[in-house]
Amino acid sequence: MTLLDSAAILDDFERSAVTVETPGEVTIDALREVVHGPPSVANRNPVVHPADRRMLERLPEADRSRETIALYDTIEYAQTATVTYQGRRYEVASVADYDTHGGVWLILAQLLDEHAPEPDEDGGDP
Amino acid sequence: MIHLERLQAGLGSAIEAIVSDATVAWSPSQLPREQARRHLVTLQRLSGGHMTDDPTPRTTPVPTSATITVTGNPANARAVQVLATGARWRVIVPAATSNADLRDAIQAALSALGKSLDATLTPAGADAIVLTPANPAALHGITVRGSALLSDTTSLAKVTQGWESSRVQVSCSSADRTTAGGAHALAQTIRGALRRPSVTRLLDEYGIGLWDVGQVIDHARKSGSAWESHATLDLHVVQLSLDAELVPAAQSVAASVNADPQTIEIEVSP
Repeated sequence: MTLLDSAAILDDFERSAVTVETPGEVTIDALREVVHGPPSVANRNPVVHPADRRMLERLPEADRSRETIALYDTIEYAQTATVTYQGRRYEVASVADYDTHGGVWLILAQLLDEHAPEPDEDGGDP
Repeated sequence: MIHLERLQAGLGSAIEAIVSDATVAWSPSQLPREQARRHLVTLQRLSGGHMTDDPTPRTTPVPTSATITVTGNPANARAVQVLATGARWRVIVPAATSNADLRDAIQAALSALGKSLDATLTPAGADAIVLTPANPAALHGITVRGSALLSDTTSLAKVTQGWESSRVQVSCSSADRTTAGGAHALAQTIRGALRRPSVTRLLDEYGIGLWDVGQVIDHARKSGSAWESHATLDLHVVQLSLDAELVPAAQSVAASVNADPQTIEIEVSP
């Protein structure tokens, strides 16, 4: 049975511009200090949409209430990468390889904590 | 003044030699969990800078320049040992290593991170290195043994020398929660091996003395963040502390005195 070539149909969907930042290689030097290499930044155009309930089941139960997006791309994202999408930063939480479907990767990324809103002048809740 | 880099590199090397299946890092540092091996040992200097006594400065010659010249027959295996400021650098080369290669190996050892020598190293000729100290204490007590000779020029300095102690915490984490294979056992292994002659020799190369090794404390209830067990022990270590201040050369004048019964003339020429 031939599986559906999902990679080919990605072009049928609207793509979104995202920036993928992958941390540099981590090494330990002679002084036993952890040295982080420079991060690599790549601009990608995956298909992006909010993760549905079935996708969220890939994640630990405690994390399912966080805002999560699903990205379909033709390359693998590092598990430690962060994704900037529409000005908000997401951390990669799950990477699944759909190689037999034509080389598609399903990446789930969760919103990183945002700054708390400024309190109003009365000191009350904004 | 002590060399903290020697403390970090020396203790790190010693513990790596004891527990080869553990990742050893100096704390605080951000090491992703997936980059660590099955066990993680982090080291942290909790306190330091305590002089063990009140050293009195004494005036003694210190090298203002030193030259190490390689000797010996390249047909034979050779060893050179350089001692300075409490640390020891050792270079062993096999037979058929030329004098120039031996010189380069000594220079590489002296330049290596961890046992930092505060001196500029300049190759001279085919078989010599000239060491120019960055501060008056940098080459204090330099001696060379083995297939090399040392020549130096010295100047008088007021040298303050003493032992400075630090308390270092060794923190062990493990992915194993069992008593026999977890962090507690790892800490006990480190504790038991730190007094081995091979480990003491290694620490001695970095100029580190081990005064006291504390008891292992099991923090089983504190484990978390992907680690199954956690234990700590404290070390009390000492290092040579050196400071030197060059003594200014005495000013001298050339003078002649002409005396006669009526007048006395003193003529001074600088």
